[in-house]
Amino acid sequence: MSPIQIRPDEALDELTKFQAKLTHGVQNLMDTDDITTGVTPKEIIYQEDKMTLYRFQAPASVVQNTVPILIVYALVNRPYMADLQEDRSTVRGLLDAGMDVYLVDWGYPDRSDRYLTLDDYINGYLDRCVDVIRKRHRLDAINLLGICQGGTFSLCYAATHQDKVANLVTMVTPVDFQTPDNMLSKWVKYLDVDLTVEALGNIPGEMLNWTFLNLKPYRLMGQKYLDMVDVLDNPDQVANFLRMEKWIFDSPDQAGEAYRQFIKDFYQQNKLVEGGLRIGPHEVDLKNVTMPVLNIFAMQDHLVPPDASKALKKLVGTKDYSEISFKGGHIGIYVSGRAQKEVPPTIGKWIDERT
Amino acid sequence: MADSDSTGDQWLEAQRRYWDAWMDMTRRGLDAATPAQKASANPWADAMEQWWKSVAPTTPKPAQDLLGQMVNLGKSYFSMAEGLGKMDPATDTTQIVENWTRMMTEAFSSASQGMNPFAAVAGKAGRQGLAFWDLPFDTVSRTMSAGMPFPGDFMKAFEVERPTDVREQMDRMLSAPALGYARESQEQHQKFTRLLFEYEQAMSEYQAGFGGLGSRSMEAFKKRLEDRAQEGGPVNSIREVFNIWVDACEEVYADYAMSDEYARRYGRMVNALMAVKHQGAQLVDEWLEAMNMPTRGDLGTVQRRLHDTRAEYQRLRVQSESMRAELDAMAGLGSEVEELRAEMAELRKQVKAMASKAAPKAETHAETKTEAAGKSATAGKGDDKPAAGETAKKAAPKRARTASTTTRKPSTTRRKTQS
Repeated sequence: MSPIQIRPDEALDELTKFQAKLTHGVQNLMDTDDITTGVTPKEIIYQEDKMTLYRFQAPASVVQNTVPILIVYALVNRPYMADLQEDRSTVRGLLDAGMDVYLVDWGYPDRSDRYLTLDDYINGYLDRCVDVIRKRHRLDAINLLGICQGGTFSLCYAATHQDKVANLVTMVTPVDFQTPDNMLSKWVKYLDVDLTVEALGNIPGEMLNWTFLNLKPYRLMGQKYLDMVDVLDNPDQVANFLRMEKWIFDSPDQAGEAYRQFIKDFYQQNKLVEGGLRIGPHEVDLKNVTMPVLNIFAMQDHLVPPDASKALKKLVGTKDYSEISFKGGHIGIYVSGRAQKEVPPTIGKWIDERT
Repeated sequence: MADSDSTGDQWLEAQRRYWDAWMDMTRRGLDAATPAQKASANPWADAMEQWWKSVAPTTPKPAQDLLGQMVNLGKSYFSMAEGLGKMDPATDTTQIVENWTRMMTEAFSSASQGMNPFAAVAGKAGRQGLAFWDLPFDTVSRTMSAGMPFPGDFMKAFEVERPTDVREQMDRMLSAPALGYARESQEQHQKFTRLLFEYEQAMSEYQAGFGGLGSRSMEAFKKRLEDRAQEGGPVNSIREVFNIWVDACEEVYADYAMSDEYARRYGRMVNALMAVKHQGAQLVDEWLEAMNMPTRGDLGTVQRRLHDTRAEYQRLRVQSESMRAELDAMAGLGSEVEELRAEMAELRKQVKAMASKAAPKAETHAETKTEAAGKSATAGKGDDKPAAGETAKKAAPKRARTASTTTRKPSTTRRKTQS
């Protein structure tokens, strides 16, 4: 017996419905206004070059923790993923949990930023943001929340500026870059990074998009758009989809020197695990991460496999290490309904217990 | 599949009915279709294409790309369904799977506009999917065409599948020593052309790597269909077949993409492209320099210096802020010293005043010295006591102020401890 048995009338019905949804969906798409992202009110606290430090406005009704938390996002993609829309906002969740939330936005590097190094990002921009917050709040140390590559940066920073970090939270953060299931790591194994940077200067965001889409080409370049037709009759879901599309393809170029060091030291030589990592004048040893650490990873993460994050446990020097595994993917951990209920409140509670 | 021999006819009849309804709707709403399309081999897909052409101009730009993508997928989806209708139900599973895989691969590669690497092996159309990789090549090659010692379309004569002996001959020609006044320039151009060949070769190998995946995808697809049929009965929805096919392809693709073989081919391809880009940039720089224009190298130097200056500025800014803070602290110390000096002066004054008060008494005592020496000594201590106490009282508030100034910094630490 054939495993495929589709009656013509059923197929016709299926296709007719598909066509109807697509036809009606056009109207919804035409009615969709400009896609807005970054919904929580915020103010600019500090700016330097293309980097901006924001502070989010907390709801008046919530008692705030006296030690603020600084979100450090990745250089890849834009940080509004953490504040995508009203009902999908990690930032909003943290504010509701009583956190005083700051966020560092690295901006869009251009050719004049081609020589920015990891030292400039971590010991320069990030350190000065931390100092600005410390000064504003008259504190010796603040809390850090690093997301993805921003988590890796936060680890490097915490290991070399221990006195300025009270508590460290890492979300979907790669630590061991050479776990057997890390596709990106395998792809860059034979890449001549020096030649790439010499040839391109800054690394185009388009190149990164291409790479990420090719991790799951059939799903991300095909199936996703067919599935989209199913929700075209719902204006809210259309807006959500478009918002996500905007974010996915909103990839800043990468400063050449920073990219060179990140690929070589982290992906190709796995120095965070193997040792020998230097960021500017500092040698990075995760044993020096002695403050409390909360490590959150996603079980279905195809960009940062869970094992890549879980490696942190054996490497940090802290005696106060906690781990949370989230049932979802790399993006779902910020935007899924379950994430809104689970992730920010857990972070808030964990920090409150240590403040 | 339906088990009647007339399935194909039914399917075509259904198509015709759908087409009529669709055309009617299109005529009424969108005024689009032409009679010629009725004779189309894939009327549903074509109808969608026609509909999209009429609707697209009125669609806002942000939605246009997305909708275009969905329409492309939709056309493929319809093509697949149409292909399904033409299948002979008596065909065995292997044949069905093969047909489906072939149709879906073609449809998907068309729908995703060649973005998928599988399609890359399909040839020219697949190459569009690697537009990113070709783009720099194309840009450089167009830029170069004006100054190349070869015609602009010179490279087109050399397809990827060209015979090895032609390649060898070209290699030999390009390795010939350069001569004369433009020797260096000729060498640079020869190098660029060699790198182009290497890139074409690497790209060809990269694409060829996907060649074996077709049959593996079919196997995986077939297995998944059989598993699905065993667990929950036959698949009776086009979408479900599509989803199973996607899962199977992703599985096979992931296996290959995780392999060392893929990593090597990918690395070679990217490195070869970067070598072309790099050499192309150097040639462009030569022309710019000859025209007395800023070169990429010049800009690189300026950018580096700008970066270094910016970093130095930030370092000095932080240093100056730190020094300013120290100076402020020192200014605080200065006022403290002034206060202490004033206090000392006051104390001296008081001591002097006491001394001057004590002097006449001493004279009187001298006169009565022999009468009450012990008594006089006791009385003197008693006089001093209130005076010392008074001095201490006056000095106390000043000391308190000083203390509050110097303990400002530790209060920050206290705050942290409390928090």
